[in-house]
Amino acid sequence: MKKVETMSAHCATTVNKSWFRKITALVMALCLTFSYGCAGNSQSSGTSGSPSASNAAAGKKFDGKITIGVSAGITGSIPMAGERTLQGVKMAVEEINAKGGVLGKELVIEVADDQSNQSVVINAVNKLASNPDVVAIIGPHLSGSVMAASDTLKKAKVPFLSQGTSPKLRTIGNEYLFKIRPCDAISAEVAAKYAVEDLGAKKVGISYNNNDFGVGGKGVIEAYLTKVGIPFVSEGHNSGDKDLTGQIMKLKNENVDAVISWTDDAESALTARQFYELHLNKPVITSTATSTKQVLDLIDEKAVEGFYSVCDFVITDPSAEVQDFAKRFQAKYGIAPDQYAGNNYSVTYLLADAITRAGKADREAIREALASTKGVKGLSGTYNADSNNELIHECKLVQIKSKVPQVIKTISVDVK
Amino acid sequence: MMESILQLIVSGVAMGFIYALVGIEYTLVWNSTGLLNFSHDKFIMLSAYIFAGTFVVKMGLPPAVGVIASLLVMFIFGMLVAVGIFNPLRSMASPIFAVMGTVVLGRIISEMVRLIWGPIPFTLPNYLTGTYQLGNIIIGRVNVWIIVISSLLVAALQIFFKTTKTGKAMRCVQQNKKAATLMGIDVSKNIVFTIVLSSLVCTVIGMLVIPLFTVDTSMANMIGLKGFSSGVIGGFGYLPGVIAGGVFLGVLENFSTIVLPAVYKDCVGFVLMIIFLLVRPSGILGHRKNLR
Repeated sequence: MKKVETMSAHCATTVNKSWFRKITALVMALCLTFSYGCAGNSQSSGTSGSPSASNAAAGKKFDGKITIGVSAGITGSIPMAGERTLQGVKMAVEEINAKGGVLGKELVIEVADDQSNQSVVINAVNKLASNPDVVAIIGPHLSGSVMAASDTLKKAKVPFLSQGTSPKLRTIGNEYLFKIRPCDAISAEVAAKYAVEDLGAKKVGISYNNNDFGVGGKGVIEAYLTKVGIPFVSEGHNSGDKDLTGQIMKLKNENVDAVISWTDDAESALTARQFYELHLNKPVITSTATSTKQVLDLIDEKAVEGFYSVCDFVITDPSAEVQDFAKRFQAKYGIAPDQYAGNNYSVTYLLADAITRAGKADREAIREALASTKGVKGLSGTYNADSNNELIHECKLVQIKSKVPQVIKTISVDVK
Repeated sequence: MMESILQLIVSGVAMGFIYALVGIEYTLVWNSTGLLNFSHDKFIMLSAYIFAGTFVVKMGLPPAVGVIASLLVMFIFGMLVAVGIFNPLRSMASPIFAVMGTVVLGRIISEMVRLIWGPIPFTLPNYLTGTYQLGNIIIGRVNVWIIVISSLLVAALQIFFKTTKTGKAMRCVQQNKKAATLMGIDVSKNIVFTIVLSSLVCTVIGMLVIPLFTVDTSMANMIGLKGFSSGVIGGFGYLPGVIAGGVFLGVLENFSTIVLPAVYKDCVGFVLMIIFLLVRPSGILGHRKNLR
């Protein structure tokens, strides 16, 4: 008898529970929509808030607005890059507006989160390009994302300034794409040349990331080494790999004299740690990542001592402009700027300069002005547009000493 | 060459034990709920952030205290997840509801972590770093810790499931929830207990892998998948099988770099998983009765 009662009580709770379940399911469904909705395209609030506040303080009146789009990976695999990009752009925009804006108009930005993801980036740039007020776009910053976004922006005729450095970008034939960092064809060759000429390597090991960036760099290094007749051995890894023992043991067995490592942030830290742990004991030249603070923070001082790195913007650059920028950025955000912040700060000024030179906030006129850029000073060098729409033709070789990158020399190539 | 092969075996075993730990956590939830928790790589990441980001870096606690505090926090977190997601969703029309719930939860956790701790990866200096050297063979200090702790953990869990009343009840719930209810087992309470236990295992993993993976929002993505593979390869639902699967996978992956270009290393694990699913779905050490 008692059991029957328990059973019926159980039934009653089941009935009550079914309501609870329905509500929970509804909430979960909402969460799902919300989380993917957010992921897809939002984060796009005009950030005119803070600049106009500072302008109000300055008591200036603007004759309308000029909107520039920013496509950055605010969420996704490298959210730090997106955050620094935005900080750099916002700082430049505030400064420009405080000085009276561009063509008497207030500069505002519209941000789209591209998640550093090749499928999301298409939505992000579509959103920006479909806004007729957006005259130019800063970003997307990864070479792979640029490839994905290229057609959309070419059709919409929006000029965009990217940090993508892959040599592949030379071949996609998009006259609306402008590249604001030295192409890997330049920096990778600088690395290979340094290994052979300055370090006197007779056999070079190449450790590369199996993505557009790493494979592009590897191609350039291999082409140079083949040209000068130095034997080499290449070992690849994937983004997100956590163990490179296999690759490093191969390099050790091949008895290379120097290693060139061409990979992204997390993998650069891993490479340095495992080279040290497995006693590779050879000079190492790396891509930009190793000279950045966020990567150096991940590595023990001993593991990275004496590493060489090829980079463009470096915070220990003794030039007055860079030191001044670094100081102001530190004061504003409480952190040291990195290459994303520095380059995007600098490129915002370049864009403002191009709009001024164009004389009107028109996409086509701005593209033409950017393509005829000559001798505009930036933080990582002088912007000069060439036939590939590449704007920077110099890089710096640094050596890491006690976790501080020291500039050894600046190497520039001819503008073609 | 001999030296290389030994080094590859040692590194493979060390990596394999990490896969195994993750696989254990899948198995734990599977064994007692019949569900899969696809957000647990995010649990691992979250616990690493709580331990390293909050307790050690921000509050400056010694790691030993941080370990206990993190376990406590993740205990409560696991309980919330069980009460908020697993229990309400598990008895809906299809287990897909609960599994989808965990996928979305993972997304929420990773964005939440980014908002709270910021996007910059970091690590704990001088925490379990360093290497041991035997002849020419090198093994990281942290890998030794991982091997020792995961062996102890498996032994403890195995004893728990086989001998204690709660452990037996958990296995009972997995086999047949309705029958378990009729036998007087409180299924909901059991599931809460399981999720809490699994969240504690995740915390242990999260704290152990920091020196190897650095603390990063995507730190556990790949081991989440590889752990699942090692579960399938070793025999889903059988704890010692998962360890065997993990170690097998780790060593095989490393050996593959001798014959194949190293970039195909990750493929090896997943191709192997598909082969096992096709040819021997019970895994290396799996029992047939565990399959449904």
